[in-house]
Amino acid sequence: MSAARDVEFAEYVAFRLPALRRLAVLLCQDWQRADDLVQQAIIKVYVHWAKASGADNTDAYVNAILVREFLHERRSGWTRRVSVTDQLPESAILAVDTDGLMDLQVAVTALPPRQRAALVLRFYCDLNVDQTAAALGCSTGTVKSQTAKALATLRSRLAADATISTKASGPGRPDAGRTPHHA
Amino acid sequence: MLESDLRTLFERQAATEPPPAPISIPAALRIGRRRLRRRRAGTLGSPVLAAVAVAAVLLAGPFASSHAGRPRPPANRPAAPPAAPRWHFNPLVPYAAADWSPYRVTTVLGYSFPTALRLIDLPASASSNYWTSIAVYAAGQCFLAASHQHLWCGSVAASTSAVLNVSGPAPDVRGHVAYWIQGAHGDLTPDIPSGEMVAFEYGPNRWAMVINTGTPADVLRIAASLRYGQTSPLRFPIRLTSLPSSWREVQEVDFTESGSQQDRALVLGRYPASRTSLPPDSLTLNVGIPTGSGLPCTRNCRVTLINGYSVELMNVPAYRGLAAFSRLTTGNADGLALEIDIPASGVPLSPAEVFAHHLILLGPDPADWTTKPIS
Repeated sequence: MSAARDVEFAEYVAFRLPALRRLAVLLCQDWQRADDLVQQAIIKVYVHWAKASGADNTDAYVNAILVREFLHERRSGWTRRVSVTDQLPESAILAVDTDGLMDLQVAVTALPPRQRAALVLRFYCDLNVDQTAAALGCSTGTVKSQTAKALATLRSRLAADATISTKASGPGRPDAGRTPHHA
Repeated sequence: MLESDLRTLFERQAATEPPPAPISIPAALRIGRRRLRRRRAGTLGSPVLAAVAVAAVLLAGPFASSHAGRPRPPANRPAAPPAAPRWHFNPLVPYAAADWSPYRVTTVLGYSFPTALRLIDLPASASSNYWTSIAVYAAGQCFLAASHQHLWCGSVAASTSAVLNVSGPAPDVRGHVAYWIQGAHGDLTPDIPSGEMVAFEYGPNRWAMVINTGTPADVLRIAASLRYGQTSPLRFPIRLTSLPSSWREVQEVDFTESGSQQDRALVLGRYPASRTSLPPDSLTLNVGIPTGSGLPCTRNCRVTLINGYSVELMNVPAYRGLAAFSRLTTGNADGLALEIDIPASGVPLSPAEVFAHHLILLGPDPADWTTKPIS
């Protein structure tokens, strides 16, 4: 536990904190939980700093710790135990909102954590299947099936939303016939 | 395509302005050291200790932020990258300037914010097609998408937004990573029919962009000539004194430097904690050398004398989402043209009170002007 180690760790985390928070908020879809997750993840990073700093790709190693901490937290039911409200958590607000993206955001938030994590790693972090499997700590087959299930769920939810929206609008209403964005 | 929509969604979510981080690195060090000691002592497996550790994490999260601070780097290492301070520039001192231009710059238009600066360099002839636009952002204001296809900067609420489409890597700018930009929109990027644009990371987590109507080589040379933090403060022909505290923060300075024509606009106010909207009670003061007789005082307007100066007072009603405001104008007060706008309600002073009791005019000679317009 040398001072040099602490300084190196603190420098790294200070530099990477914005990126870690961004990844965490995509996983959690809620800034408060995201920040709790990052706080816990960086403690774990400190404990494993020798391995993290010596890894071929330290960022990938730390991202994997964050993702696994997210999944572990959800699996352990900790978030359910500390949740004091049944209302939806505050979501990250889109900088440029569109109906379609808002619907998609709601659908993504409703996905099971592991499926959401697979989507975030594939489509935000641009990881391939092998890298995603390494980050999630599972097989490539699991990554493929989780991703496929998530996409199928999103497609069906968005299609259902579009149908409800069209029916609710009815003919002659201003927004009648709105083209489903993601159908 | 659902996959591309997901990419767009994630990138936009990640680019939204985050709330202040309650994450504490010192707490992570403290708790991490404890865990490490336990691991080394071989006691980590104890369920009791594990429970204590979890409790410590949970307790440390919300409460540790007030003790957050940066560790001091050792002397033999480069300084730690700053933890992205959100309010970085002094708008009264434009943070950057270009030392080279492919043409002789005679006019500089500037928009200076606490988080960003935009400069437009123009040559003598107004009909010339040459011009350069430079935008420089403070630390933590820009975000490069993981796909390296988009760069988002600033915020719409603060009028500093820029959304850039990255077309590919550009040659490094003085050793800093750079990208060519194809297509941009936002507050600090102009609509350019043609020209070249490069964006580059001039420091850790700090981005700048240069647009020029010349060749790619010109753009890169301008970018390489940018000077940061070693610039002269702006000089102002007025001084505001004893203002209420809510008007002592400078949120924006617009300036024109064109020979003898030097105009200044000051926006004073305090952003709400959320920083998602403009200061609701801001004071805007425009001042410059008179260029004409101005518009005649007609509806909602009356002429009066304040401190011996003829001024026009006007109440502008709310219109299309803009709140009602009060305006004071004077075409020539000690050789200066002046305009003060203040919201019609919820403010400590009216424009007439500011003009009468809180404003000192320094005249048209720049030699008499001040670099400290608020005292």
